[in-house]
Amino acid sequence: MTTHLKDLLDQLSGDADWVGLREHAEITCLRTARNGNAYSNSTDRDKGIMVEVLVDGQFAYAGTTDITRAGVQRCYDRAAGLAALANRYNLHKFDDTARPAGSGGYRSAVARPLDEITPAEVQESLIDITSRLKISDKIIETQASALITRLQVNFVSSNGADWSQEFSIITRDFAATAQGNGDFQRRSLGMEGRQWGAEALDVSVMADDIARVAEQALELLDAEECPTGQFDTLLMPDQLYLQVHESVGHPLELDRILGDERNYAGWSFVSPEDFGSLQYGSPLLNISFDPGLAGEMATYRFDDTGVAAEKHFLIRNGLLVRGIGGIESQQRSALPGVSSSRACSWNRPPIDRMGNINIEPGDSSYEDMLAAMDRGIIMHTNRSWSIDDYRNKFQFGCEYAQQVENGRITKTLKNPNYRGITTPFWNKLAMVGDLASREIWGSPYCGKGEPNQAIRVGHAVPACLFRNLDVFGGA
Amino acid sequence: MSSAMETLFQRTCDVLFADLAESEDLNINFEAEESLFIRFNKSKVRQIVDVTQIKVSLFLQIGKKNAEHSLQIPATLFETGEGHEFLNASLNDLRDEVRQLPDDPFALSMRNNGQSREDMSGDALPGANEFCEQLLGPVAGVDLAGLLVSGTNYVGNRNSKGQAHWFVTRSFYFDYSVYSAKEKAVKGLYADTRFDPGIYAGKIAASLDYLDQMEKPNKVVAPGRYRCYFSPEAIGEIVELMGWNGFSRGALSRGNSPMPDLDSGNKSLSPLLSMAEDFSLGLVPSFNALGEPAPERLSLISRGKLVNLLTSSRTAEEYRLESNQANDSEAPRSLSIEPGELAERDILKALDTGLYISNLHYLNWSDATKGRITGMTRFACFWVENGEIVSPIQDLRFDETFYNFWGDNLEALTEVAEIQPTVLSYDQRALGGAKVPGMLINNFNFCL
Repeated sequence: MTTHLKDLLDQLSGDADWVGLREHAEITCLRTARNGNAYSNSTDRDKGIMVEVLVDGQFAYAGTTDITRAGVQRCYDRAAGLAALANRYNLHKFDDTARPAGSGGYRSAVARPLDEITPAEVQESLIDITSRLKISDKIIETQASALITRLQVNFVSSNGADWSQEFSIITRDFAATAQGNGDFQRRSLGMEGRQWGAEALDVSVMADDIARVAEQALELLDAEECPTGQFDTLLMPDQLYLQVHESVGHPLELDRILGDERNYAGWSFVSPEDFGSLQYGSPLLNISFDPGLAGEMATYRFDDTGVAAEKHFLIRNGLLVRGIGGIESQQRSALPGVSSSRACSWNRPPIDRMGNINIEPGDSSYEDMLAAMDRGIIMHTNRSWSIDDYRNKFQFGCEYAQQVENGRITKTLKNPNYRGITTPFWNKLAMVGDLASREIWGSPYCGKGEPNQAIRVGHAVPACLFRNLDVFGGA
Repeated sequence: MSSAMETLFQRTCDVLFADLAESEDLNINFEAEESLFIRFNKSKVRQIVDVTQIKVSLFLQIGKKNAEHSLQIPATLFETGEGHEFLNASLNDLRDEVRQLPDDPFALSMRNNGQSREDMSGDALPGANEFCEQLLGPVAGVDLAGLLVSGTNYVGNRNSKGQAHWFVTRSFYFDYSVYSAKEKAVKGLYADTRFDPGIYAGKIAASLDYLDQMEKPNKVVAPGRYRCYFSPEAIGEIVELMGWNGFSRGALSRGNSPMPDLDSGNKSLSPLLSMAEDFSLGLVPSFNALGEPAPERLSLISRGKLVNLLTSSRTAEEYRLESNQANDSEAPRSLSIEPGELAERDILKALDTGLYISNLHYLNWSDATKGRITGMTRFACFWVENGEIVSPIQDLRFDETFYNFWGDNLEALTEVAEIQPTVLSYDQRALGGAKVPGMLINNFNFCL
């Protein structure tokens, strides 16, 4: 798949110390349906090459959609010129060890390839979902969407890198909004993104979830407001994954710790001395960077600098041991990192991103955790999120909650929220769900970087029980 | 370069329109940028990137069926002799898809919405070398992080009914923050169409003055309700969140809006508050993706009463309403809040005792249909007593409805509204922004 790139590389003339060509070819279709009708069908075909050069220790980048010998040469010349001038203001001198010469390939594992489903079939499924969600006149709006991505990344370099990766990704969602009792309540699947194929759009497999979402939207209209106070709280995977993302993933990014992100996404409460010494969470907390778990959104063989992907623990038995930083951040900080330099497309340089950040399953069943709550709340499906720029003070809201009394679910609650501070929160972790409770979630829209980059991340997490969270309800 | 890009746009459209059947209508959007991005950390260059990208979006309608395909094209599309073939093949792919899709019951008939042309390409901007010298010179020895974005944006639209729009703007912004040894920070922004070293030096000097005031130990403010002054930058963050369904007529119909109480008249906002979509600011083209020109000024809230919500033609068709030519997302593109009477020199005196909030961070709806917003303070925020800055504060989380802070608790607006340009660059450099004043607000709720 990289023959044309190698030809372009061989034809370049110039005296940069290193050059790499990274080609992204992505086709993403967003199809939506509402209230039993097709609503939108849009397809974005994005293809270009980022030319990366290293001159006297300075990387520079120039991107183009002109994938010809002349177009790539123009970018090479432009990037080499930018590197030469930026050298006067160089932050860190790199060499070509920051671009290993990996070779090989990767392809998403799918049951049914994306080219086996037509646009008409996708729309038919989405329309069917929105029709099934309409179980009452009180449901005033039903929606379904599928974000379908085929992505190919090819990379070659002057020091011998030659790899190619093909991704098949679908983010699916559906929702019902109910109106009654002077209130509106929206219940959804939650944006469910994974590497998978057309099997993700099989309505018959989703039938139980569709029925549940519709019924719970109605149920919320008659539900009590979530109470205010301290409660033991069972966070289900469709909420907990975003808690991991915001309060573990982002603060452990080495480029944040190094200050690159201070002006936009933010800094981190974690300092370099914390690795190996900070008790981030209770001893039950084990968090990994795992680029090898099949089906997660950010499963891959190489990051976008060509570093081979390997699983590493970031937090082991509650102790912080490793950061989320690619090879450039590792060389700058002398801290342990992972293969996580990633670019969202051909037109952006790689920066430290999350990949798959997972909570390792524990040994508690859902029933064990329910039984361990005398006075508690179970929260499902994220609907609101916010955290400060150091990743300390967070607040989350969910779509649906259940009250637990003496180990039994007693009622439904609406508008549940909780707030807290990162390390005290994770040290309240009391029980970790087992493999049976683990679910794979992910987001296609993790944003950071200057210029901005939205990238896909994965989070495989079990349900987890936390003691005495600060919980509250709606306005 | 503007003319070369425009020629590419026109020729692309001509080729595609020539290939249309009588039963087909085609709307073409063209978005291009030639951008230089220089990312700084510790007043050094962390990354330097040059990007030229040209995206053409084709919306094809055949009867009630439609779909859109977007594709990147090279500036040299017609130099290789393969341009026609590439475009015709792309149109054929789109045709194949449209024909197999079900009808769209709310499909709009394509119309000629007229012609417009606006070229604000102005003077040439400094090159990368000159920018590095000019930006880093005044901050020698200062810990600065930030992003320079400089270049030209092109926006075009044509459809097969004959409408034609073209918009060009060339500008730069330097979005930066400066830091003390104690990790205190002050945010700054310099945006213009012409770089003036004197203006930049003044902005840096002002930022460093603020940084000096940040050197005192942080005051830990307990959660509670406080009297606050919010700078135009902080109000700009609130306005940006309001764009997320806040002014959308479609969201109101779908039960996903914070406006039901304002729309029904159950609640009202302060008579001090008036805001409008105002394209006279010149930040963005006034035509939307359908090529519909929006009114130059559309009042949204007048003296606390809801006057209009942003209504796209699609929403209008579905709910049998009048369109006001909003874009698909029905988010403001160029919002303007009318200023008040509070003079800048009187801000601290009027605040008396409370919080001076310069910047906010990571806002989100915490109870969307009730208008409740959560978020954080960020950068240089201060505790003020008796009209004097006492100390910076440790960042606070707030959770409050706009019915409260733009209702009875809104006490004053500053006499000068400032333009807050959009500084986002997801996928491509974004255009747009808002013009907003600072606000003095009572009893604002901080929760953590």
